[in-house]
Parts: sequence; C-alpha cells; structure tokens
Amino acid sequence: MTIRNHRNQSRLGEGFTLIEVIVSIGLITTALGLGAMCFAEVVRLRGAQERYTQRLNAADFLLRRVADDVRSAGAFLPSAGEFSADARTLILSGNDGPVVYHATERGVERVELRPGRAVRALLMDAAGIEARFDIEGNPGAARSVITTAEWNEPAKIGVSRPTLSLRVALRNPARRP
Amino acid sequence: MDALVALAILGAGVFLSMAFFRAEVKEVRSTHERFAALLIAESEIERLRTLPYERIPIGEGQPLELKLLSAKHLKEATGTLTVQEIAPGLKAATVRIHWSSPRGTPLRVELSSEFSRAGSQHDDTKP
Repeated sequence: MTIRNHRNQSRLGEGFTLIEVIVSIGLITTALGLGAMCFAEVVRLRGAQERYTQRLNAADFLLRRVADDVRSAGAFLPSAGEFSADARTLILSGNDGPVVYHATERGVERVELRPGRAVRALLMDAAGIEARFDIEGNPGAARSVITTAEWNEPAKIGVSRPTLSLRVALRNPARRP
Repeated sequence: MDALVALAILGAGVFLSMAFFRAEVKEVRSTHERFAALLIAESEIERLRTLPYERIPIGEGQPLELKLLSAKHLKEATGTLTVQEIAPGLKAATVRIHWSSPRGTPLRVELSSEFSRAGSQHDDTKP
C-alpha cells in the first residue's frame, strides 16, 4: 500500500508526456479552428441577411411608391418630355403633370415634369436591383401596370434571385391630361 | 477525459449553431416566398379592379393564370379565385395562392376584397 501511494505521488509529479501535450494542443487547435470558422460564417450570414433585408425594403418601397402614383394617375402616357415609355420607363399623367419612373444602373429615378422644370428624386438607391414596368395594353388605353423588382443574392441566404412583382390598376382612368 | 468532454461540448455548440443557421436560412426563404405570394394575390385583386362589375366572374375555386414573373420563382405555384355575390350589387372575391416549399410542403396565402357595382371598391384586404 505504501509502495502504491508512493508510485501515484511520483506519477502525479511527472506531469504530461510529450505525446499527451501534442495531442492536447492538436485537439484544442482543431476545436478553436472549428469555432472560429463557425463564428466567421455567422458574421458573413448576418451581413448577407442584412443586405438582403435592405434590398427587400428598397424593392417594397419602390413597388408601393409606384402603386400610389398609379392609383392617383389618370392614364399611362406613351411619352413625356425627354422620356418614352418602355420596360424601364413608366410615364403617368399625374395631378400636377406627368410623373416618370425611369430605371437606371444606379436605381430608379422618379421625375415630376412641371412646366419649365423637372423635379428629380432617386428612389431605391440600392445597387443591383433591376426594375421593369410592363404596361398591360397600349399606354393610351391600358388600365394596369406590373412593376417587377429583382436582384441577385448569395445562395447562402436561401433566395438566390429574389423577385417581387405587383400589378396596380388606375383608379381614375377617365381623367386624361 | 477532460479534453474529450471539452471537445464534445464545443462540437455540440458548433452543431447547434449550424442547425440554427440552417433554420434561419429556411426562414428567410419562407418569408420571402410568402411576401412574393401576397403581392401576387394583391395583383390578382388589382386585375379584377380593371374589369367592369358584371365581368367579375362568380364561382368557386376558379383557376387563375399567374403571369407575374415572381410567380415563376415559386415552386408549383397555382392560384384560385372565388367570387360570390354577397348582396345585390356587391361581390366578394377571395384569391388563394398555393405553392410548395423546396421540401414539398404545401403553402398558401389568401386575400379578400369586395367590389361594388357603383365602382367603389372596399379595400378591406386581409391576409
């Protein structure tokens, strides 16, 4: 008994062997590496989700803004000022003159054409969102327009090509400019 | 032994984190699809607004042709329209959009609105 106690005490005093230390360091390094990778992935995913939410809000804002203008407009116009209606340009006859939505590389521009001047505002200043306006029928006689906003997202957030479309109809189609 | 326990705890933490992120990605996709489907339903209600009152077709579960670009991004998206004349000169329309999750779970949103002969639409849409 005395001999065994003595052996245990001397074993405790020896510390770890080189193999034990190496294995421990290897395990700790692996665990820390996995933890760091996981944390980095969390940060990347969070950032991607935040950018997605910003773009989603910008697209929703555009759709709602166009819808408000269409509902109060009297007609879709084929042209006004320097603008001609196409898939990237929507022209409405507003209460105070034509209102133009024009999709560009930078975003979507809203232009109010007043006598002698144009009031411009850049909506949806979010890079990468593509907007298009599909008038259902000839601009002069059409009653509704479909606005579509789409953009690319990294696959990791679950939606690689988010696309939102909204059809809006004129509420006062009889009124013409 | 201590090292193994520590590793097991860390491993469980990593596993739980990954499971959480997968669930979050799924949630983002699901929320986006639901939002897109609601806009599609709203668009179908708007299409009805362009029709004269008499041409809003009465019937239950009438299939809809979903022409919107966003509908093509929903898996197996279909739509139905139910219209009832709830009072003389007043029709209630309900649009239902059905689609499937990537795993095949059926999903659905619904929007309702009312249309009057006088042309004054009641905007009490409800999801």
